[in-house]
Amino acid sequence: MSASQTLIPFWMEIADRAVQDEARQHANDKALAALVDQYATTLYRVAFSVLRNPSDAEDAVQEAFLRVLRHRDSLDEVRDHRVWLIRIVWNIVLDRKRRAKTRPETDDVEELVRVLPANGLSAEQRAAAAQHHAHVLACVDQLPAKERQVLMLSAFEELSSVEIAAVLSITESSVRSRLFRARNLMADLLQHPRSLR
Amino acid sequence: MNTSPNNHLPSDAERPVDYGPGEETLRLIAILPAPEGLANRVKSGLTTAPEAGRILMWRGPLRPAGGWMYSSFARGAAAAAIVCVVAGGGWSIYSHVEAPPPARVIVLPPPIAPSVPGFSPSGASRVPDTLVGPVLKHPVAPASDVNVMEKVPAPSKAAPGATVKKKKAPSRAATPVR
Repeated sequence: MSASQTLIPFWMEIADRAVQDEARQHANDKALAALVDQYATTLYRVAFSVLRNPSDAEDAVQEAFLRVLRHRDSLDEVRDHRVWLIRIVWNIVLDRKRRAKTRPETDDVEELVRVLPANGLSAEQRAAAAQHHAHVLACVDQLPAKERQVLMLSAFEELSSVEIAAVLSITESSVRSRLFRARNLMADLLQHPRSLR
Repeated sequence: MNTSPNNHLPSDAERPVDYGPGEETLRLIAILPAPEGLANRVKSGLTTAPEAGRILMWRGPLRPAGGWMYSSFARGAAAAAIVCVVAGGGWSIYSHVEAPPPARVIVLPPPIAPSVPGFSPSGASRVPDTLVGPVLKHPVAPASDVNVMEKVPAPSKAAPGATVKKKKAPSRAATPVR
């Protein structure tokens, strides 16, 4: 067998594999773009609920999709992309929140009150609503971390208790029990503001 | 989970029936509209983001059609070829290096061994002939004329051939004989 007869199948195999890799990469890019179109808004809301700042939330969404880009070859192995993405952005925003603790909370609340919808309200009503939202958020911040996380995720109508459990890597029964405790604590905190630490 | 694939809203059984106190604020946050152009900005950020393992790309018309050379298999084959070339070059250099010439040494004669049984050199060793020393070009003058530093005993004042009188030893005369 001559050398050319040996090399030609070898290079043909290389070319075939290269074409397959290229096609797979294009498919992954398209899948990633579709994920961005479909879930960027949801991820932004999740990020904003924790960070309470539009630019920080958008940065968190960007970082989440950058992480997805690095693992785009394993996109096919992910069963539920939505829960997977929410889990990614949840971990990112919690990490950012821990690192940004030096920033005063009042800035976040003022920013949040500014962006919250207040259509049809007078100026006085808007001010009262803003004060109420700030008070509620202050109470939420006083909750223990586990209960606070479950309560915040339960506010998203897109997420079921099973999906919240998947995001937080806990069982569904734990989600229910923590949500129950969080609501009781919130009721106490809202009725007795002085008990806030 | 009994949600339809097109609608991610959970069923009523999975949703909390009523909301707790203060949760309306959290729900307002949860339904906030995303800023306009968020998806486009994210996509543009993804296209400009550097990847973890960067590959040198061909530019313009030099770029090969299909981009087959960016596949992992082609990159592995290229890496193996580079390794083979480097290793082969190193081996060829190693195999073609000439051995250094032998060092110039003075071969000593073998020690004198007893040629005839029964005799031994008794520890004697061969001593090479003494080298010929420097040869003086000019004749050397006699030592008496040249060597002025050496003290020569002064000659006696007496004339040659004269006899020297010896001191007379004291005689033992007049010794009575008994």
